[in-house]
Amino acid sequence: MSLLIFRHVAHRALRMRTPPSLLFNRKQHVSGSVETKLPPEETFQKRFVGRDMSKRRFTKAQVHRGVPTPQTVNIKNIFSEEDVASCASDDSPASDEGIQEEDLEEGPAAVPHLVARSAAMSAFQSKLRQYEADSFEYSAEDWKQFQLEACAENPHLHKSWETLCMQLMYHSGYAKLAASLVSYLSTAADSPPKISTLCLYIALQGEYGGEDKEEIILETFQKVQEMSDVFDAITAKYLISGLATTSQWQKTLDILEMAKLTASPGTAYFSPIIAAAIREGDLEMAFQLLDELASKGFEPQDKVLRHIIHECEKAGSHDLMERFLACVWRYNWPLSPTKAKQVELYYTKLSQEKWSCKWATVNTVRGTCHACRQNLDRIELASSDFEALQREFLERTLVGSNVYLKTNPAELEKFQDFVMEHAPFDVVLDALNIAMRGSGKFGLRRSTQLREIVHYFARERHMKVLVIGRAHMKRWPSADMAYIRRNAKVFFTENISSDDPFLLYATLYSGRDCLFVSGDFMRDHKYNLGPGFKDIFERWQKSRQIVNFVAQADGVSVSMPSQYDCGPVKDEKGWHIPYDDGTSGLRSSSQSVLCLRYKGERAAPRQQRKQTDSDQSGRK
Amino acid sequence: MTTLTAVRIRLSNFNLLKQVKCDPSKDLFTKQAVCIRSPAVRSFISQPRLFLDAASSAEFQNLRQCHLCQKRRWSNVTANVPQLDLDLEEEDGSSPRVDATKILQNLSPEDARKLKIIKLEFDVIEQMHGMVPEKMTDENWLVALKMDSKSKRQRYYTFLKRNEMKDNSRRRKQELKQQQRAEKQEENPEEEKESVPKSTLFMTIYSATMHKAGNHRLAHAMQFGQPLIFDMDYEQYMRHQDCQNLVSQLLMTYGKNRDSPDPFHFIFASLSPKGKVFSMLQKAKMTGQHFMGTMTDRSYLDLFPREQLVYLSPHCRETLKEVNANDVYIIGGFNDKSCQKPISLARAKEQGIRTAKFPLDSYLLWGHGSKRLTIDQVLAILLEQRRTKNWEEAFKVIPRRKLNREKC
Repeated sequence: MSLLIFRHVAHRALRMRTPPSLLFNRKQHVSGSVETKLPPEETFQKRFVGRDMSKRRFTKAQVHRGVPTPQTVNIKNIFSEEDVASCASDDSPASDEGIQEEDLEEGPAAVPHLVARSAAMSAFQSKLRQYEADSFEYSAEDWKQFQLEACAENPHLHKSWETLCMQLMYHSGYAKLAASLVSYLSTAADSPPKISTLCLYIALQGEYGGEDKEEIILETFQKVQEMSDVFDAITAKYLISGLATTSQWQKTLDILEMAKLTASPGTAYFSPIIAAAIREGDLEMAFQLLDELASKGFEPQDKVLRHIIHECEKAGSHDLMERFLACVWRYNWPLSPTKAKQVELYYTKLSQEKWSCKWATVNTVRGTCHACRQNLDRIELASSDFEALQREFLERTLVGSNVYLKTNPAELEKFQDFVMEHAPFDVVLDALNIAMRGSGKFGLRRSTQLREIVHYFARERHMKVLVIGRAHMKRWPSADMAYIRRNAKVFFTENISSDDPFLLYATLYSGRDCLFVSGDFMRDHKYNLGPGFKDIFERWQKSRQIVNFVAQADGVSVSMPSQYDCGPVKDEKGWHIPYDDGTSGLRSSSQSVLCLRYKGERAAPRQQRKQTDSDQSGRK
Repeated sequence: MTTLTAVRIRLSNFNLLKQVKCDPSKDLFTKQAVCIRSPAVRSFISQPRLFLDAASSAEFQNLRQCHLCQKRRWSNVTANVPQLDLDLEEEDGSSPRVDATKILQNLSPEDARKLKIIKLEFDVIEQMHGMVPEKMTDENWLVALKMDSKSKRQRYYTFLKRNEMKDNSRRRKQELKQQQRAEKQEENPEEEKESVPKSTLFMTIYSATMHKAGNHRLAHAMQFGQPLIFDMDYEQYMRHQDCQNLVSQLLMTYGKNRDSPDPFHFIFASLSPKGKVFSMLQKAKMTGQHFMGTMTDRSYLDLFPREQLVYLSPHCRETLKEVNANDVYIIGGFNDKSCQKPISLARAKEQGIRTAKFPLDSYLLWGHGSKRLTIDQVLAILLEQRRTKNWEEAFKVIPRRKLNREKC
């Protein structure tokens, strides 16, 4: 008996001591033996890396180099010039088109999972990671042996080993090694190189190739053209990023058109072409493509800014830069820290004695820059934009494709009559959001919490208040509800209707000075408005929504919304260029900016600003 | 007296035993009368031979017609529902099924170019070790051609690949089993006789017989049973793969309904014979003579008065107190994986029908995951609640992994 128990305990102990890695390997082995194909990298990342892969993480390469995340460390200390250059060269080959694929760009280097199923492949990958680029070479013999090893291990690799290798080399920048693989495939191997391999090779040469890259790319492109006269979205992306670096960059425009047939190309398609157009001086084309990119809701990759800076340095004028910054302002692209650093470098390097650069924050409620103590201009939403928003909102969000999804026609009509009768309001309250705030931790009942806020706006600020809630609120404590009814107009939607669009509609209807109070970011309504209204809605929301409010037993505290829009702003003494370091948002009242001050006697030319103003006509 | 008619139940008929709540391993031989207490078995034993043998024959259809004159609660209503006359259409040769091969051969030059690009993309995804099926039929290409983005196509290929892998592994397992059986027989050929049932006191019921009994109950439900409507007008909101999953759910639902002692009368309303769901149903052999239910292209509003209808929608506020035998419940034939708007609620609001959802929150502590249920789970809940009037019992079909197991 005791022996039995002992055996049992020993067995358990043994089991517990088994290292998890070993267990994992065993699992892998089992699933490998069943005849299964691997998931594509997208599903892999969802499954294994999952949700904690936040957008702001750095690429593996950057982590490897020891670059900390921007949230924790002040930016000016961490970037040496080299880092920026290397980060820039790293704005890597986006792995896919579309928004969710955009995330992958910053995720772990692509295709690690593919390697896990074959020891030969993973050995190859770790070798690529270990050594510096182009420090070792493979002969045809080596490749042959590698192919045999990999395919013997996993028969599925028979079709894909060469493309996988090329992908790995592409992400690590091994141009010469890739060349040896292509020459092996086209001469010694039993089958010619596949089309995806060649396209990846073109992209690789475009990014990392030496001086003879143009010749190689054009030659390979010739081969690709012989293989197929059409290109799909994937090959098109690689072809574009390679061909755009050559003199025949205009061919990429046709390829882009072809990609549009079966997919909606994103920034990985546009950015190389824009960069090429800037390099070749075809500015019209470049800005036309930038506009098209913006209309799809994307922003350009870092390489575009790199080329702009390069051209500016060559020409010795800021024109191009300012035109680009005007675009940034117009489309509300937050500059990444890397891009902001590039801009800073440009201004300091070009005219060291003329410009002083500071990393600062701007208080968006008061509009002062902490570094130069200068007040920013208060930027208002253009009236035409506001009116368009006012006009379209009802149709696009509340009615949408089916009016019954969010409300019903009778209720909508009733609400419209109500608003028409009582408008304009000074402030509109999202009753349920306010009442549920803090879920009781401020020590007040839900209805009292709402009552305090109503009291604050109606009695202390003497504003005309509208409260929007749902019908079930009628059953709330009558003392509070009676007070609310006395001091504010109240509208209850049906319990199965959504109340947020009613709130937004009432606010918009009351004119551009009306505020609204809600902790909700209204993302789905922004989405329903469509990409054209995204920036306008965001600007309006930022200046009109009170997000931070607390009602406690000892009083109410409300922080007013940001009144100052921080696009790249130019004044007499220089620029304030905002960048996104993860701290600014709807909730924060500060914005990180790069504060550029002109030190020379001559004030920065005012005229150019006017020119850009006229570009943005109708928006100011 | 009842002990003599005790029935030997094969293991495949466990669900029968579930209905009488006994543990098959223990109770089967100790309580001989247990089986006879099951209403399903009782109905099987008491019914005339005619029904069993001719369940799907023309004679049976005639019988069905004859019974329609009987006055029962639902019989007046459901008898008037026009069945889609599908068999006739097929005989005419004007089959609604589209021939994908022909369409692909006669594409316009633009579409042909697009198809070429998509085929190239397929190859490239394969070369990059993505998830693509080994075989693509013309139907599959046609579906892929209609998709307008790369990620949509890739998701479709993944769906196909997963199904292909499932098929392959099932086939492999079958082959393995056959092989093992053959090996066993080779080793000791005398045991072969074992597979022939011994002479026994008990009667063996094969699953085919059980299906016939089930069909009998379904036929009965079609005349006198409570109707249950499936609103099939959601095709526009579903992707191709969602439709396929919907059809497999419907198949399971049909099977569960047939196994229950008092099944519902299934009415598939607003089912367009030209739609893809219908052709998938046809492929799954859920149409035609064997299907013991009603398929119609009319809306449920034409069949029943509005007051009687209750739309089961997870988005509404009203909860169902109990499954009322006098109401007609509507289940949305909608797999809302790709479109999560409250469409069914909007539809009910528009048509002025009552809505209801299950009282999940008052009986269960939900853990992870969405509160969406599959159609077969909804049906099982309805059946069980109607039988036992007990929600806790009914909610046992909801997978335990979805609940908060620590607090339950």
